[in-house]
Amino acid sequence: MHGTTPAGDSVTELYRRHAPALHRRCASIVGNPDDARDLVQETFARYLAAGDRWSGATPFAVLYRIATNASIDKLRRRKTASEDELDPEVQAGDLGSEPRRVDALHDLAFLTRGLSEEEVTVAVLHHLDGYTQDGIAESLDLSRRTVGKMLAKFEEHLKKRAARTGFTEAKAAIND
Amino acid sequence: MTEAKPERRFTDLELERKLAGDLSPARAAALEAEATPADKARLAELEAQSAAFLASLDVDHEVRRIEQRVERMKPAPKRPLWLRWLLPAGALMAAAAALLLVFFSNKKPSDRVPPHDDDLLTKGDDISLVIHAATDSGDSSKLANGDTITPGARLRFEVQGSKPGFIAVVGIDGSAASTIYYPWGANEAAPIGTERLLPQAIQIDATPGDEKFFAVFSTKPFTVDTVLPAITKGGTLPPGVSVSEVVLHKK
Repeated sequence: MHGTTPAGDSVTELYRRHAPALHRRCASIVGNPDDARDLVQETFARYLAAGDRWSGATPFAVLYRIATNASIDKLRRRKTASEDELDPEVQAGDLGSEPRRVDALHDLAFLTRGLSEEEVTVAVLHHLDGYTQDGIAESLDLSRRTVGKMLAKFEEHLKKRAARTGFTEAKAAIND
Repeated sequence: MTEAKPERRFTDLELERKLAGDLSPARAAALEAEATPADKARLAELEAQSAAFLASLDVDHEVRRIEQRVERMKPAPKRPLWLRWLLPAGALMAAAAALLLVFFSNKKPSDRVPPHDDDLLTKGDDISLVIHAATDSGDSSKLANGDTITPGARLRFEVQGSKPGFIAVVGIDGSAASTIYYPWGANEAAPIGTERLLPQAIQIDATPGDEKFFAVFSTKPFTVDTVLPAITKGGTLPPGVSVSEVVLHKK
């Protein structure tokens, strides 16, 4: 017998409804289905541990945001764990023939440090998944203006970070 | 000759929300009325993938693992008020006894051996950050503030303190880049319970220069972005937030 979620559903029900999409999301970022499965567990655990702190947003919206950020942070941790794991040649095996996406993902993971979870989610959708601002607004139930503001903040954050660290290739990569 | 890209009017994310029953009624109606053949094909593809994913694992097992993780994240239960006073009172009595011992000691100061500082910690008002490094023998050793580490060192964090609340561990490396080491993947601080040794180890990269580690604690939920400016620029922390810092030198 399993517990219930902040919204009153059973955890099993919540998992069945949302885990497949979250797994796809995590796998598209970390490139490894086993890591993605672990990230999905972590996503649900964080959602449930926070109790009713997520009121005002739908479970999917919150879970998707947590999953995206957890996956991006996983990439950052890979950087701290081993530079080899950031080698596009290595990661391309997991993601098929998308080494360029892997490059951009790692650049984005590096450049989004310090942004809020929602800002990271919007930046990934726009710069990695190629969503338009309208598409993000419709997909996340945000106003287009809010999405525009978040992307502008990301650009500003990126400029400051690039200036501080001398990181120039990333901007080119994620703007391709 | 290039193949025409099938027209899509709805994003994958909207289709995912449709499958999860999370799409707003207006967008769900629009999807019903306006979905292109490419949208419908993608929806069917995602639906099949979802079914295959759920069939590939034991959902009950996954849920048990999730619930175990939730248990580990729960804050420690609050102690009764009298017990919360008892501990500081005991500590005060112990300190007084230690002072008396020093006072009545006949040893000259020059005879005394300086205290072993392996366990040196830096203390915030409510917490102390302790960093453990994995050794080659498989054990771990406690690092002191100012110790030197080499790139590749594996570290774990322990946050000492008696209050239940929320914790985040942030690192700032020699290039001034910040990393949220705990809770990974999160901007929100994580609840901390009785288990004070935080899960998972990190491995230090080769960025030259000192690395500063900050444990940030509050009895109330907070997000790291609200405390990061104060940490990185030495500003004022939000009310109720305390920080413990450890600086390690990198070879």
